[in-house]
Amino acid sequence: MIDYSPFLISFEVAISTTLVLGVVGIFISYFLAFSKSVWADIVEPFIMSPLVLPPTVLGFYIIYIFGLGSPIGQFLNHFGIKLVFNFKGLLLGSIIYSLPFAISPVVSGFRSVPKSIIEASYTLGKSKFYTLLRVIIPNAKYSIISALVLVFSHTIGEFGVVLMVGGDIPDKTRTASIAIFDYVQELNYKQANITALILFAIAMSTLIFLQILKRLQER
Amino acid sequence: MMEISIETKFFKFEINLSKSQMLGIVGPSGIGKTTTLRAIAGLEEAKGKIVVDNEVWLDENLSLAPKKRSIGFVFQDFALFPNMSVLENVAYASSKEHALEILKAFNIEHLKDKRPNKLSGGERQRVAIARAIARAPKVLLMDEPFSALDRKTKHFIQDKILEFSKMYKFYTIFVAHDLTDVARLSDLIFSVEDQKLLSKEEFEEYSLM
Repeated sequence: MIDYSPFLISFEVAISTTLVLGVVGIFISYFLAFSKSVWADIVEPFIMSPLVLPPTVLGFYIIYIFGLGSPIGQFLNHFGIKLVFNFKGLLLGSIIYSLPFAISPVVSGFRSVPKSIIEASYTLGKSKFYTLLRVIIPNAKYSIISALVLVFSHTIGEFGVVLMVGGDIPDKTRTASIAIFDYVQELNYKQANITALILFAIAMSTLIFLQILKRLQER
Repeated sequence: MMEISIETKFFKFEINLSKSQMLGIVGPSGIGKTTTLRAIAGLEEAKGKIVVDNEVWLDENLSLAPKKRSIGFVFQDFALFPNMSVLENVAYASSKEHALEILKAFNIEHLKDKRPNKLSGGERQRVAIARAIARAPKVLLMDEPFSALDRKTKHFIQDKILEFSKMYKFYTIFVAHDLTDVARLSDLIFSVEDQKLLSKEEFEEYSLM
């Protein structure tokens, strides 16, 4: 008998993270791709840091900054907002951890849009926002779709940050990847194997999808 | 009246144009002709003054963003939007009905549903010119606008530009390498190398030298 609850939680986190980063990521990517401000150079390493930082370091700082022991955590608690050891915490950790996967392909995609077509839009009387919607995003669509697929699949398989920030609360914050860890601890290899196979199938499907997307882009 | 007195990193450019007048800029490659067009469009930094029909585009206190300058810019690489059809490109800053009229005038109505990547170089160039004119700009700026056109089409397009410039009363400034194009279309010619402004007649003598 498969326990579906960890999968439902994983999917819920992955879909929410993909939706949030789908919108926020576009604007951050636009800033990083086109801004000449020194802030772009300062912000970029922070956004890319989850690629090189151990998930436990990131998880620890999220707990440290947003936990009830911190001023920010206490301030948010006044408004009934708790960001650790619940679904919101899980989401926050996933968003921060998946940021580079949402940003990096889109920044490259935006930078590969020919400068002259962006300038052509401006000379035709259109604003930067209108140009982003009508010219830049449609001409970088494959990069954006790749980013969203990567964020989704990466979030589905996330372990370290979600374990630290969300805890391991059954039916609340216990995701599929945490469930595998728990099954192995309980020597329940059958359940661990089923769960792992499903995650493996999801990961491979997304990679095959990305490969198809790459081919389509090259046409 | 259009008054330009600007200085880019390449050279100083001063000119006054009357309505519907056409100015051709000539000079060797790499001398800054494109930069001058870009500076007028607001795409490149420049010092000086640009006033178009009493509207200040550039002075010591102000530099209007490109979107606020009423310009039509024909880019050297055409800069058509790859994600849009020919009709959508031309209608980008105008209406579909008006865009269709312009496409008809330029004899390229049959291309309206095609994407830019399905067009020849000459067809792309015609679409780029049509798109720049479709918004009825105050100033038409063109960077090597006839380079991909055969002689017959070139003359047809040049006549159309003249026709529209009289109809919409826009000022035209363009850069071209082919001196016969410059002589055929321009009322005034600016030689960058000599920093000289020439009339059509003076230019004909000058280009024979």
